[in-house]
Amino acid sequence: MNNFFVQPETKDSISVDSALADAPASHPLTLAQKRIWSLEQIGNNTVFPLQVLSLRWDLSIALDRIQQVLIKLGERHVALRTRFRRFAGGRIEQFCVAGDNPSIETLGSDGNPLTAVEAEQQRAAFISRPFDLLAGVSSRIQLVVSTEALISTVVVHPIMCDAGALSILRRDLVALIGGDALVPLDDAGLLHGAREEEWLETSDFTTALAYWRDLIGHDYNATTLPTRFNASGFAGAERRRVPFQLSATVWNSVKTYAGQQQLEADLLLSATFAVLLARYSGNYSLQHGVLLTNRSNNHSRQTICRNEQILPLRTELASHSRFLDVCQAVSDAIATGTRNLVPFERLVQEIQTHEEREQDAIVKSLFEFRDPSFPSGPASELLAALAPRSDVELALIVSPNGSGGLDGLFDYAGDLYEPALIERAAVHFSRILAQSVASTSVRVKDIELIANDELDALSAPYDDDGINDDRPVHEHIAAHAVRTPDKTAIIYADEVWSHARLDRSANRLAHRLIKLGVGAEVSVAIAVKRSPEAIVGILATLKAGGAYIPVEPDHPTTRNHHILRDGGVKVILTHSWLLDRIPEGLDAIVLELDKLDLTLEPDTAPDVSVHKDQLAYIMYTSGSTGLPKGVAVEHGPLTHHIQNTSRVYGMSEQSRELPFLPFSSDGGHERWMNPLMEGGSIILPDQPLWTPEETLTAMRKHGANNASIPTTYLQQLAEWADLTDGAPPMRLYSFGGEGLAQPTFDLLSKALKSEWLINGYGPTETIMTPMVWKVRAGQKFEGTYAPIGRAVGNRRVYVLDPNLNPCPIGVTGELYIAGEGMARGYIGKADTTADRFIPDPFSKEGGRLYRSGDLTRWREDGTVEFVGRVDHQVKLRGYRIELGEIEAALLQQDGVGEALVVLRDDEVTKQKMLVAYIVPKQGQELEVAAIHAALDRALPAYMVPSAIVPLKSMPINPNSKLDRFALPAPTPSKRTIIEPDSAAETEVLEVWEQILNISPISVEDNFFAIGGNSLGAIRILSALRQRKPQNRTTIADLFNNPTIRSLARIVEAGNEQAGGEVIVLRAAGTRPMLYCFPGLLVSTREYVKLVDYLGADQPATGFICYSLSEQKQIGASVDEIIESYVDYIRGHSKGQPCYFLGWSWGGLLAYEAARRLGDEIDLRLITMVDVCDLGTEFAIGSKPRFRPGERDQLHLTVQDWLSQTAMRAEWDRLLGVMDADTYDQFLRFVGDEKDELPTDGPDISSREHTFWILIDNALIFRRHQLQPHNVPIHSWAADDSLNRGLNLIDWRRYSPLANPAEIISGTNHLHVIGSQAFHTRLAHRLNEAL
Amino acid sequence: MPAAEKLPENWPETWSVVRDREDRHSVWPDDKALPIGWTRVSVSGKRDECLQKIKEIWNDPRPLSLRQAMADSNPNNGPVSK
Repeated sequence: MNNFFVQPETKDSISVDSALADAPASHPLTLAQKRIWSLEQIGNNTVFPLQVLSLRWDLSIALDRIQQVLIKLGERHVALRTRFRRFAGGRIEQFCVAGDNPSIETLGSDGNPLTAVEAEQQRAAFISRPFDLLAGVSSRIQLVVSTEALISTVVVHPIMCDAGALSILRRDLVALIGGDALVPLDDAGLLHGAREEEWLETSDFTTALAYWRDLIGHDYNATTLPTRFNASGFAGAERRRVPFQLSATVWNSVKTYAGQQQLEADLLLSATFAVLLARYSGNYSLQHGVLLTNRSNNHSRQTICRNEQILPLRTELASHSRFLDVCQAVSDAIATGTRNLVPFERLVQEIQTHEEREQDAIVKSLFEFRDPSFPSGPASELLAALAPRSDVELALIVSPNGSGGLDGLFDYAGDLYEPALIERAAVHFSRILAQSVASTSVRVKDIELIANDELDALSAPYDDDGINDDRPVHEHIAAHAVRTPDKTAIIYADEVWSHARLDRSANRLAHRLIKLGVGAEVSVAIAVKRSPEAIVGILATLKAGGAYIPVEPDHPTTRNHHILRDGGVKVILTHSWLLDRIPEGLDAIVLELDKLDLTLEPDTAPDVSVHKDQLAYIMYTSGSTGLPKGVAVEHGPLTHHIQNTSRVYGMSEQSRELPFLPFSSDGGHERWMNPLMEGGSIILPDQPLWTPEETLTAMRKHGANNASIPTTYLQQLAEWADLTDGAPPMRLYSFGGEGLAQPTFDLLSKALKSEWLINGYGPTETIMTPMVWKVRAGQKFEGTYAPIGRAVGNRRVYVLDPNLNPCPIGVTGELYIAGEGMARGYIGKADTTADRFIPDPFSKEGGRLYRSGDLTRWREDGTVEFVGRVDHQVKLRGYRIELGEIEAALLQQDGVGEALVVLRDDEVTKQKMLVAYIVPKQGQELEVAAIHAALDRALPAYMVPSAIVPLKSMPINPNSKLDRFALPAPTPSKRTIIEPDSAAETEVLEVWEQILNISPISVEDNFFAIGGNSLGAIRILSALRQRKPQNRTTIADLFNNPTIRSLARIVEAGNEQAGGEVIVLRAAGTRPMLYCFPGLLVSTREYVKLVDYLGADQPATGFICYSLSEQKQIGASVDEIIESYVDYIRGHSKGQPCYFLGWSWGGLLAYEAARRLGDEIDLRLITMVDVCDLGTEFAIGSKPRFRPGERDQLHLTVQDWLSQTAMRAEWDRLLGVMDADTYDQFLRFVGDEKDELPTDGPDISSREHTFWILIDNALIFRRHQLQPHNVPIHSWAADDSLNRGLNLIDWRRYSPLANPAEIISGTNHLHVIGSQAFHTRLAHRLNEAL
Repeated sequence: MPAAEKLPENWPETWSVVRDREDRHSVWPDDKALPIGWTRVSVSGKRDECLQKIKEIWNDPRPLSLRQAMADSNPNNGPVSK
């Protein structure tokens, strides 16, 4: 029974005010207590666990002795015998009565003891029994006599007790048993709430609050451990725990070290947590929290009460900070924070004030040290597992245990964090602690998180037992000309080249090149298009001992000129028709292959040997800016790389590969060298691009079994293959060049019919494809992009932080590649080479590390995942944003083929904004607005681009890579303005322009798309009403007809069509209809975002808020209000399945409608969103309190105001239905309002009108009494409402089918309905109820 | 390669020019143990200053082994014959 609605004359036993009229004075709760009360109210009693003290006494202690002591304990501590009283309207207060001690349940006796097993069962059952705070005192006590011991258990409700208080209880109990006298205690615990209320009105509070506002600000970034992919920051209710232990040796060394440094040992633990956060987040500007016991004065050290506080800390650390500096910083932050301590519940309200977007928690990770101070002597403690408060995403508790060491516990939101990551974090916490106390000079960056053997396993390449042959690539290829001279090597259009022909041609040209001076470290440009001739030219250069430089004739001439000059080219191989592309004035010999007569040159191999360190090729790579750089690669690593790759790819002389990669990328060369080195063959495309159809035809015709294709093209190919079912069965596809999202990978898996898929990755600097991820088709991966796998060959890969420390699995760091397989460096750029190729600190023999500039993380299986470019991670409004994540979200939208997101300056505002560029898939159209809406659903608000620009194709640089610098600035889309074509349209247009203050407006513009909202709608209607007093158009009409054209039609049609009270939010869909009930002042329009989220299959209908409706009458009852809703639902959903959704007071309407409709509909679920009661003000039976003279003063104020207001008549009617008590309540309400009484009515959008509606509603609902009804209910509460101690309704009191409420964090009563966190969970529950 | 321009905020102050057995040059922070196979050249300073110095002193990009092999086989830097 909900007693707020109980009429005073009913004889209900819980009608508390009358029943407790003679009770002693009661006291308000503290904010922390209110929060716990609210949580319990909505059925969530796991956030704050019960406080339990179980002690096991020697049998030498007499049972009655313990009983007496427990009674004394109850007498001493008010908190053990506090009761709660609910006033009419829901206000809760606490009080206690002398002698009202907690009962002691005694089980067993000396003569008849329980067995040890029974004793434990009884104890466990006692502990898990729930509390009913309105029915009894706040604690209960059990004594069990077993054959082995006496066990006393005190359970205190968390609303009265915290871990610090439990220590006091333990201490007092042991002292009393020992016969020690306790210090006299003047227990003022119950006064804390009143004192807090008073303090919150003082200037001390204002000052303290100003400190926090300044410290935290608006754009904060709460530090925590890395969250799961796609967690989007929405913590559900599920909690997980990772317990761990630290040995007595470690704890002793920490205490010794603390003693030497004159620090508290727990500060060292707290600093260790800070270091863990810094190293895991990569962010040394920390914002986290510690749990203060807040018991520094004598009174608080004696009093049982809830005193703990979450204290947010801001600390600026650096990786070079010494551990002792970290201790100092944490200690300073705690000291300053404590001086400015503000109740955390209040702090959150004050900081999280952003109106539009959800705000992140201020504290996401919390450290708590608990010191239980173990009893000695005749008692020992039966320690329960550490039970933390679980209202922070991630909490670490550390507490000394009975064996002299430490117990640790990570308690975290199961939806957000990967359990394996937390388990490792626990190990790393221990490592940080142990290393930090090893000396006084340990710096954060010196601490090794990853052990050598772990690093060895993580960095290891693919297993490969093969032994490499040191001969250079061209000698391997030539060997097949001897062994299988007639076997096909190259198929090119209608040409077929045998291995022998290829080799002889290369030999002849090599002899010529040698004559022209080509030899070791001399470069030859291959300026012909991809063709067998190009391959001949390359092999000839290698045979001559020279280094080749591929030059794509089609590429921009400025680029090619730069390459030819920068590369110190001695000979240029080209065709006569390409001569105009060769710059003049080069000190190089140009050979026109089509005019060259080599018949006199020998077709045997020249007698040239190459050194392993001699250059094989120079590949020019484009950076995002500046001129391309030449990457010089030597023979030794090249031949080894290709042999290793052969084994990983499973290449053989049977291999027939279609290499589609361009010759301007090194990957393109790997993919022809590899089959030819194995004695296999290639199908060389005769055009830079084939259509997907041509490619698949060529594969089929020539019997390809391998293909290597750029990721961007592969997607088109797969789409085509999917459409036509035209893919030939293949052994292997390899691809790379861009990140690959799961949907694309799924498409490849499905459409390409390949046994293997290889995602290749590699900077040119580490030779071709140093890393691959080789998987069977159909593989699933978590993450934005497909993994890039492991190293190939004699290489290792490391994910390192900026100090070159290996990152733990799951932590983002930069990818470094080490080992033999890397380039010599950049041609002519000693400094850039030295910058990117650095000494390898992990090598036992000496070597170099290449710094890739790519952000990556190690996955659980030890493979590497690509996260983005180092320079592709941006910071916007305090958030770190990985642009790739937004791109991946775009790629998941229908029709989007390519996506790119950049951070750029808005040309007008000069503010930074995210801009997305999208290219449609072949033959598809993109709907930018729909994609934008989809991103709103998929991403946190700060990651949704401000503009989405559709492009025909992405700008590409000469290396077939995206050119971010050639992207157009977004231009505001031009709207077509359609002029009105009737007098009615003109009239409506005038009103819209005037109210919305925008011009021009097209008659087909959507009201909401151009910035209209509920208030605007109300104003428009009242303006139309002024112009046409007979017009019956309602707000529902406007919502259902949101353009000037459609609205004008309704206005013109007059009374026949207008006057609806129902808003069609989505007309069709296969799922049960969702009926949305409106709150007090909000309109149903607020549900639109939610309905969008639920998708096209979910129909939804809304009802107009009663206060906005045309039927509005003074003094209507709830029954009358729901009448029209019930009729409508009966008419449309009779016998059909449907859902109800009620937000705020709408929840009461939904519930009543459900009760009224009963079995007439198949109601699957009512979803209740932050449904709270009226508050205390107008509840029947609630008697307001006034200071002396205050009531009369308020009465005068109201009378004075009534004489001025234009709404006098309306107010008189409302005040006229009030009895004397209600009028007093009204006066109290007026007195509690901060603002003056409004006189801006009667406009429907005025403050005064709103005030009038509020009071009117209060009078409606106060008379209404909820009745039990069996209906499935799931409810949610906004975190802010809990912090405010709002009077949320526990629906379990009315329906046995109701669940405890879930909490939606980072939002409040008003915005919860638009919260994405809520949307995801509502969708989940609706599915469950389907 | 813009990543090169965007240096991590927490990089140390002083660096040294270092060199390996093949006369490859690079830079290394002074506060971190020097990796195996590398020796400090007597130049230190800010990272950029060290890189600038390398530009001046590292003129022959060829690894030392190759330089020697080429010098042994042909004083004119021709190909290494069998």
